Amino acid sequence: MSEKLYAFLLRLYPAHFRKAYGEDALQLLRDRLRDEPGFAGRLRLWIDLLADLALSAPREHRRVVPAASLPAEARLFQVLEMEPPRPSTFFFGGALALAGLAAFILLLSYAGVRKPFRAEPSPASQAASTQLAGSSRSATQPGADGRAQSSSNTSGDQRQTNRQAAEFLLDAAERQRVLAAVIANVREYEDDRAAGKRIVAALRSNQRSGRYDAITSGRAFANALNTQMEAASPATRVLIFYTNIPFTSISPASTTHPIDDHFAISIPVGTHSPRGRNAAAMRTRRA
Amino acid sequence: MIDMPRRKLDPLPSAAFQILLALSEEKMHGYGIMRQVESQTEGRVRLGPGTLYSSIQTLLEGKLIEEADAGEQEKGTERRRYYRITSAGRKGARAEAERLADLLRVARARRVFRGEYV
Repeated sequence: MSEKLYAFLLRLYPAHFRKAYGEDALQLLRDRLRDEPGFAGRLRLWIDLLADLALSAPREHRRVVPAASLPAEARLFQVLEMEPPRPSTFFFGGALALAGLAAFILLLSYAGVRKPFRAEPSPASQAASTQLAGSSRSATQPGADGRAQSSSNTSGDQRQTNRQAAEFLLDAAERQRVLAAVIANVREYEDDRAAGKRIVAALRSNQRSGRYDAITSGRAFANALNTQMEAASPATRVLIFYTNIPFTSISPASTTHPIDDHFAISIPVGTHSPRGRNAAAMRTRRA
Repeated sequence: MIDMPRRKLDPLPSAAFQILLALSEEKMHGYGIMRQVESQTEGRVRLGPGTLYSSIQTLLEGKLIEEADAGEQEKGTERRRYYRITSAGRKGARAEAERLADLLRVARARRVFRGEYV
């Protein structure tokens, strides 16, 4: 019983000590149990053992263990409390700290001039934008069939440019701005004034009912506007275009009139502005 | 191999000095050392297993003692480790004894002792 209890108490010593002297300590206990019989002998034995345990176990835990007696991976954590740091330690520590500080400052300065990622056109996509404008302009020239051809060609161009730039996401302010511009252009360029009023009424009604609120895709917004304009006036030849590449370089003579960086409105050849705007351009195009 | 810190053995701890004195005449195992220390101190010092083997480990690492073959003293089937003092251990014990003797002379000069000690 005493031997088992002391074997359990030996766990309070560090592993290296138990491994080296655990069996010897148990043998010493057996010797004393044999040589010191009786209650008084056992009582004195346990007083000695417990006092010895309280004094020697903490001392063994503070002991610097020889590296050779440790496994290889444990040597990495050798306690060096008895060895003062060498001057070279301070030198290399200081150099490492300075290098880290320099790298941190460099990163800070780089972050200060770095531009965030944006879905902006590259010079190559700007050229594609110009080509897109030219393609749309030539496609709308046939006259009565201009609307359908323009839609088809522009859709193809949009599919091409979609691979070059990220989709432009609409928010409420952008939708409001585009819609106001569309209404202004419909009022100005729609030949049939009654049809123009129906279109404007339909667009505003849909806006008030919140049908546009969930639309964040420019292409979907343009499609929705076109669908509602056609529903209000099947004879309308005004068409909304969308491209995710800003086409601000379109010629004033173009039949595709930009109303936004990404949205444009198609004005068929032969359309005469009641206010005379762009009429010269239209006539020039028609000639 | 990392040597034990020198301050562990300079000055020589009391338990380690007692062990060196116990081993000064013959090699012994742990329990024999404990009994010898108890005897030479007239029962005032009984080294427990922790203190005894911790001191033995320190003396071994300081090369003041070394393990020895059991030889004729091995009895029965119990396997015991025997230890004996080295020449460095004798020098260390002598130096410690001289240091204590110097302290004793100083104490006598200061008339610390009374009666039969004087």
